[in-house]
Amino acid sequence: MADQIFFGAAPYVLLTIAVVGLFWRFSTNRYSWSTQSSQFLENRTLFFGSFPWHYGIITILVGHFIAFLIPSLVFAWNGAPARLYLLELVGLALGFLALFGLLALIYRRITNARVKTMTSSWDVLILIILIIQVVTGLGNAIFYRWGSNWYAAAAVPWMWSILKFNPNVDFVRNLPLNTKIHIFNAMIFIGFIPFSRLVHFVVINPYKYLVRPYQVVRWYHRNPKTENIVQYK
Amino acid sequence: MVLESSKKMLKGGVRLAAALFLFMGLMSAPAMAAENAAAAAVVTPAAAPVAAEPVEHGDASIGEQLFKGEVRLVNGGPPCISCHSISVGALNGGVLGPNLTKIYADPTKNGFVSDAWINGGGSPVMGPIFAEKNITEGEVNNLRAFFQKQSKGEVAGSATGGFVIIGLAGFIGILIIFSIIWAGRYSKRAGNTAHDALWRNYGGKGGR
Repeated sequence: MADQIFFGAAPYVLLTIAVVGLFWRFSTNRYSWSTQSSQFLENRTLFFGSFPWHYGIITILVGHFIAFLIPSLVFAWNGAPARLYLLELVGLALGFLALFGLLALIYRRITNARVKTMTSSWDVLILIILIIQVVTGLGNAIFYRWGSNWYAAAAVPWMWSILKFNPNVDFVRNLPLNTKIHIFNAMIFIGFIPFSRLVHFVVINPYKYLVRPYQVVRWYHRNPKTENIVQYK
Repeated sequence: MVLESSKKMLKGGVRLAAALFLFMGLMSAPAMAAENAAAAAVVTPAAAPVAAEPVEHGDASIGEQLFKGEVRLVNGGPPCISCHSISVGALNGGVLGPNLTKIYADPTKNGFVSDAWINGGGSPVMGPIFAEKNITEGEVNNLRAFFQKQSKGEVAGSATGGFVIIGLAGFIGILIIFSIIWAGRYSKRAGNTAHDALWRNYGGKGGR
């Protein structure tokens, strides 16, 4: 029964919240998703946190997404143990990279007074969700190998069953608790996108984040308090 | 107020997560080794009653290829190595499911290596997968021949420790590459950034 709620009903609730919420956010508050001048507050730890975190997590997310779209590709690649080991080791290294970056970002939020002052409750919540996601993901990779294969065999069919409006909870019902937390937490993450700083990756051309020169992002005020700041209408 | 308390919670949570992660990492190798030893201990005595060895008609080498995924199961099911180990490969097989090295020699489990058991939902995790993508009788015969061969050998370790160590080495390697690529990110910048200008406005030196 609990599995039906968590993996049969909750996905629809959270996906609906995500989609409707994004329209709401875009129509009411679209320029509020950039960082609140975070580089101005503290720059050094931000670099060592943000770069490892984003390069690690984005590569892993792309891997999840490709396997979701073309699961047979995973089996084709993993058709030789050497390639399977290579994929899993690269995934594990990137997982450690993401964890390192995330811990650095959390450390920055806790220790830097200026950053601490600007931290919202949403930021705290999102960091908790992200750390759970990364730790359980590493748990899957290390203690329940080989995740790339059984993700494509068990989790992907469940995801497609959700999208086809015919949820088959049996695919994930008997997976380890660590994996179930990873899956459910991912859905919470998706549901929270519109309300938090996570909206920053729901943009038309997110790849530009990877190649553009670093820049200073300033606060956007609808009613600027000083004359010096250029107004964008 | 709420923010302060949530920050404290976050701080505590991070410490706990870090400690747990470290603990899990340290405990994994001996725990896995103990698990394998226990599994081997349970299975080994059962091997004795199999006096007259049955003849398997399948091909063990094809069975090995099916197990590793080098030859795909004809109906698209995932290869056994996804979740099971059978003491082949440098880092062995998966550990989501039980180690199958000695399953053939265990009379209580030998029957699980059948298309009826696998496709019929004998395992709760495999059931829904193979109900849709049946394994065939011919494939199972080849696997049985391979399992028979493997059951005569030693149970190899799970290689979790080695896997983690290589992964950590890869992570450190990526960090080093990052450091090299972005070593001159401030000193080599063209002209001043807006960031420098902001700092000068407030009496700072620029840069960081």
